[in-house]
Amino acid sequence: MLLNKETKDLQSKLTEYVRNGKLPLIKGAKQDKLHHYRRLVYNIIFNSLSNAYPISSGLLGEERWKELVDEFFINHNPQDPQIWSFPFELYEYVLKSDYSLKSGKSYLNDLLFFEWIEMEVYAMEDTEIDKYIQLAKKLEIKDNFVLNPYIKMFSFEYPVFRKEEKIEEMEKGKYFIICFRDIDTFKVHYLEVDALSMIFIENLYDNNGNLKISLDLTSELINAELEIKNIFPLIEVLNDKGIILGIRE
Amino acid sequence: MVGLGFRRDIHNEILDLDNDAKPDFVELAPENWMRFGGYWGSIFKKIKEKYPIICHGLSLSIGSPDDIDDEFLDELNLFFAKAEPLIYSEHLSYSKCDNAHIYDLLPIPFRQDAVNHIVERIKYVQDKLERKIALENVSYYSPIGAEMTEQDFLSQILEKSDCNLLLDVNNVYVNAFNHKYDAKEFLDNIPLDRVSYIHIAGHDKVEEDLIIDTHGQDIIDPVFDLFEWTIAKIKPVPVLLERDFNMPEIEVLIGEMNRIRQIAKSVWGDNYVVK
Repeated sequence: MLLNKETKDLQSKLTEYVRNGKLPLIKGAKQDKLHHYRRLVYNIIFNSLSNAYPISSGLLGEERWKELVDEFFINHNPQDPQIWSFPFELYEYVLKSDYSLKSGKSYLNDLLFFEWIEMEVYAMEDTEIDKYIQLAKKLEIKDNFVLNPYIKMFSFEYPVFRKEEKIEEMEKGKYFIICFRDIDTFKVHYLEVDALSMIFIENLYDNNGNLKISLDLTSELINAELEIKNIFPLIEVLNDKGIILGIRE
Repeated sequence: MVGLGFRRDIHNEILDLDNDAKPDFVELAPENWMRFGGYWGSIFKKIKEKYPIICHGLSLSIGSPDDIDDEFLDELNLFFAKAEPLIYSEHLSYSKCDNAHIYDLLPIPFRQDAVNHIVERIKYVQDKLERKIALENVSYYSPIGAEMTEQDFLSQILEKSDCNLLLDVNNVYVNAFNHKYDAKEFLDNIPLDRVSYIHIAGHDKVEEDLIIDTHGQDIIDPVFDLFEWTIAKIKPVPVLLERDFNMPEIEVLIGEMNRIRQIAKSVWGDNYVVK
């Protein structure tokens, strides 16, 4: 490297200051002007995280949210060159540091992820979708579905997606969620499903929409013979929602 | 060519502009559009259909002590294949240090070792991207351990690295005010033949002796005057109106673009075309 240690140290000192707010003596600097750098950088970080997590920041309250952002920005090295996707690193930080337990907000991991995933699915890169025809009233075992590619499946401990319930009163459990983007309107939607449905849908996605393989694998896993008629109501819902787009041509 | 920064908060207004109100190009930050599909992916396609694009980056961090991020350069190349930008410009500053992105522009110490370090990095980036880049003279609010003047620092980098200059006229004005030097003398002492692109913007005076380059106000007359004085010394290049905050009605931006156009035409001729 052609950079001297002293020059590098000067750059590090300024960076440390904008991250932790503790002003060191920096050679050849106008000490009384450096606070503008701290202010400008901090505002960018704070606004980016607050905009990404409006519900979480609101529930934590102004003071605790600021404390969390401060702690995060001091202890975590942001890795993403794109600021729009950098807030995901706060979720990872909270998860790793057990912040939700320490703060007594046990739902926070799920809530942060819920807020983040909407953004991620909304922004997912476009991809070519195979040609398909409408679903027939009667399915055949050889059918292959074309599936919505803009989708994420996950489970939560708290039903943070239920807008009608108060978060503080939510019951701990196991909740299976599908988050997907409408291919025409670009709007992001959520669908709560039961465990069996989740297994079947995951199998569909893992097997390129192949109905027979997905049924066989799901049957094997639950140790019971599933038939098309058992799964047809779910398929209708998935088709209606725009998760199953149609039958591959 | 007079362009406008493509801001998401006024994307419909910009896409609706036509005839004399239409900018000749739009500028966007690749970091805000790379790997984006869905609604914003569809808007990007519309931008591409309607306007030539100039890319002005945020995260290259050419002055960083950290290594250049090759993965990021690969992403840029993929994006450029889609955007086909007329120019790719970046900032002569650093925004990553000690393995942490900080998402804003910090001032590089004006020192010989920093010049040498940056020249090597520019050459590397230009090789990887297979294009010349234009670096912007950034505004700064304090020097850091300077051992040479800003103009020497900038001139050496431009000459040794063979890159172009994105001349931000407002930044020259801001820096001259903040650090008490003569803006015209500064401009007379940097290689203006390297200018391939110009930015012009508004700013905020936040202290008696300090201006911050906010891109949040209308351009003031002294900056327009400095722009006119400067472009008489250079060949025609694209000029961008930068406005990122405190957005006014689109008509105000059109008015500012028209004023830039009039000045450009009065100096460079009625039919100035940038090649």
